[in-house]
Amino acid sequence: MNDHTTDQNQDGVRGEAAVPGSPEAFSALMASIRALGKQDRERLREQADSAEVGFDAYALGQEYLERGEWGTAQRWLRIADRHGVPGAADDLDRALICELAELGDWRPEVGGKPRCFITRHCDPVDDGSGEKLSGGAQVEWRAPRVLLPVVRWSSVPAGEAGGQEHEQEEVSAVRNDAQLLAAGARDEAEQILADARREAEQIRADARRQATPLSGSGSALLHYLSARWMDHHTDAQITYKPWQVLLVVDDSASLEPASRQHVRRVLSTVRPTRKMPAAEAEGAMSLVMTRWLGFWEAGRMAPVAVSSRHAALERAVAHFLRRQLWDSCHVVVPRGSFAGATRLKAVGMDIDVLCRLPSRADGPSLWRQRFVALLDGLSETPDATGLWFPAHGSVIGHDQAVSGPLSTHCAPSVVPGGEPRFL
Amino acid sequence: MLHRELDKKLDRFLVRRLPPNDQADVRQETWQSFYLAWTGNPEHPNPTGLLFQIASCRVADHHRKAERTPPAVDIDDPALVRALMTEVPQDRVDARQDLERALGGLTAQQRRVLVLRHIDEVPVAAIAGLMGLGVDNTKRILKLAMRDLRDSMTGYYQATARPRREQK
Repeated sequence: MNDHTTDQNQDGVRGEAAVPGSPEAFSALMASIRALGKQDRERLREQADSAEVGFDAYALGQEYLERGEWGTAQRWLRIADRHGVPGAADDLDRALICELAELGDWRPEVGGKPRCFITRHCDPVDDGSGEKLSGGAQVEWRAPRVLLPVVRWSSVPAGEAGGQEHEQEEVSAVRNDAQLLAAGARDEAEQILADARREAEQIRADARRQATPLSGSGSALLHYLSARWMDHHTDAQITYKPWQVLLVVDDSASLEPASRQHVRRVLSTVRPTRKMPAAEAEGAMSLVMTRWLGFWEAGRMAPVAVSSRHAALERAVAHFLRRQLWDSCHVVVPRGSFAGATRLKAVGMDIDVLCRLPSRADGPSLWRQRFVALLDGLSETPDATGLWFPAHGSVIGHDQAVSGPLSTHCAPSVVPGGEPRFL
Repeated sequence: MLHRELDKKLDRFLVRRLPPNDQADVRQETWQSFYLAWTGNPEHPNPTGLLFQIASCRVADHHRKAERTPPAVDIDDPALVRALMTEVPQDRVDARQDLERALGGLTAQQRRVLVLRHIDEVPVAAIAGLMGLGVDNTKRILKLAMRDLRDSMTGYYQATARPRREQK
């Protein structure tokens, strides 16, 4: 506010008491402008210029986003954000994620091949808030009722990653998806919701039965996460915050049939949205997590240096932290045998996931290594595939860290209660 | 003239984005800023857009200074349902629920355009400026959003609205 505001209030010059659009309001405004000092005039002119420049930059950012020029889009959107343009930060998220997405090979499912998408299911839980609509004149802000975003990931084998055939299949797959989505009618949604609830109950029961003997394998992760998700999901009254995420890794190549079926059941409770998830800020981190897990799980990477991937990921994470989408989320820049490891924390679900991103220098033998995950409440020793670190809050000792790549023989030592440390 | 036309709309725009005590200050500062810029460039091609651009930045700046998160006016807004329900009888609870559900199926961009147009009554040209889009593109988004809403409420509109033109 300018220096004259108080005086104007006292003098009654300001137009706030007048009816908007009335001659009195206009006179008061003119009087207030006449009363402005030179510095205030300059400042207000700069504000107008800044707004105009900001929105011009925003429009340019949008245009480059449309064209898929993520770097340039980021530059303009950053300028727009600096000038205080609302919405610029969201689009900056989108540009960052899209840039990350292009670093890897990520393709939609084609004719039974694996596929990757994030689903975000809005609404259907009726928590009675609809009643508020007719009650009273006061406007109530209602938080978006976003059900837990679920990420499903799996990879396309390297040999099938390119080629015209694949492109055509992609197009037809996207067309199919579009048709499917267009066909989604309201009553169908209700039916799905009812089915989802029924299945949720069933899966919860299954998960409870299976949760006890966690075997420290990929299926254990799936069961554990699925059970956690279902616990949240079926508490229908919960309004989920955007940063609550669940990661479901569907490696259909390596999972046992039972686990695959389990995952399929979980995924059948959600429906894809018509838009790609990259545009959704709340899906962004889960996309990042999934993607980077995916790089490793696939054992196949885009020809991008580890340092580039880390830089991009770090930029994205730092950005999300600034946006306060996540309370705690960081990238550990590792050394030694943990080079390429990235630790991300999904606060909403209290899940730590340590992803190890392999470099080509690791050699092909490591590309088939699975990810290493650190989860609350698990106290498993690594199994034959070296999957798990032992427990939440454990410390990975230096001797283990430098002893070699993460593998069967490299069981990290644990200091209970300590914070994980990556060397 | 411009003030008379736009002051009410600006007021409506600010009411939904700021606490009552702050609205008058931001409104005045927006107008001051606008007039000073406009008098310096009276040939400005889109003064309405400029006014709302300044207002948007002032609102964002205000929230930033107060360390508040701006209200998410574009998502699941009950007032949007009310604004779109003007033709629906109040006893049509099912239609209202349909509309709420249909709004949930729109994209964030579509909802944002609908809010700006139907609640804030911001002119399309100004909406285009605020969203970094062209005017034609904004109109298209608005049209598609309304079409999607109509499609989602087929039952109601079949009974009440005039028949839709065939698509080319």
